[in-house]
Amino acid sequence: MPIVTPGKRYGARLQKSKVFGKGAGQRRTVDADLLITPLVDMFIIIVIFLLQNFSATGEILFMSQDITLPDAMNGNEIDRAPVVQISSDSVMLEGEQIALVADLARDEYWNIPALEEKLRDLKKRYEALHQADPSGGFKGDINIQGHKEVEFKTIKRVMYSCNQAGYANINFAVMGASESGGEGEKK
Amino acid sequence: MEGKKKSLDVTINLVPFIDLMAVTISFLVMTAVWSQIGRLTVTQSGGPSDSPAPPDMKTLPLNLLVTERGFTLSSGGSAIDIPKVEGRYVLCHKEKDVIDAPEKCEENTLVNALRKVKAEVPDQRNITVQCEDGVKYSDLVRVIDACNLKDSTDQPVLFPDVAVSAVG
Repeated sequence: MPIVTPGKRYGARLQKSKVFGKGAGQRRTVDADLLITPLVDMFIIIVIFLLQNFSATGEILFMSQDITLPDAMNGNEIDRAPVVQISSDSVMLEGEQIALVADLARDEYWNIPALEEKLRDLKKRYEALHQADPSGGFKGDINIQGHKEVEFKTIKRVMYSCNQAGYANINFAVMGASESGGEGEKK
Repeated sequence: MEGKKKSLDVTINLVPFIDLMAVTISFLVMTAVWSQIGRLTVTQSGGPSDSPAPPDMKTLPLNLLVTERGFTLSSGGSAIDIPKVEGRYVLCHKEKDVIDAPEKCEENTLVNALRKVKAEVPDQRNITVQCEDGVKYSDLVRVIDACNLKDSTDQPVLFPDVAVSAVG
């Protein structure tokens, strides 16, 4: 007697029945084909979207929670340069704290001596590194990343320090640049 | 005996393509810059200027004073006061805080006043913005942004060479 799979077994009369016999309920294969066309479509859309937003310059400014940049519509594309960060509490150069805003409010100097000294060091270092490069002369560019609520009293001291140290091209970092970039504009 | 005809339907193996897509998406997501940061270039008044006006161009000393009460635009011998409205600096419209194209701006607003000066001296590119100590940085940036206003062809229509100085 053959070994059969446990389960309901109908009589010989019903063997050919489409309802109860072998014709009923043919087992579907376990292998299922995934429909990958929508997946490929989605990937292509995502890649196109990301490529459109791709920026070769990358992240130039480190966005801090203490600093909310002001909005502007007519800005140009930002370039790499030393960054002075001005938050409500402190003034930083390249992430290193230089002075506290509360301390700056007490004295009546026009400049911030510590900032000026650091900027002079940066300038010397840049010139030493680029002395053999004819096109890489010091241009005096500096980026100021200021919190929108900071008063001009602090900004003017930072600007004066930058100017005294030789950084005359001051760029205010703003949120929302024009897409055209800044090279076209004649200075 | 004739051989079996091969089917014309070919199944493309999409697995390497999906792998490539997945790697590309991962790379692009990791290197994506989501915030659009720009720059507004200014010089400090009295500092070195890269673009001295040629001697044959007609220009005049243009000075914009930004105080906590509003603006005062001095050009040549005349001065225009543009006071704040409901505590807001009036750049282009008195009701809304949007800067449109210069010709759309209302009377007695900063952009409108700048446009009139520009019409008188089209060669002028320089403006000095004098700011009081108590003015917020965001307000100063908005003023500089207004001076840098561009048209549809991305050309500056007002005074793109902005020098900033303190009052006094």
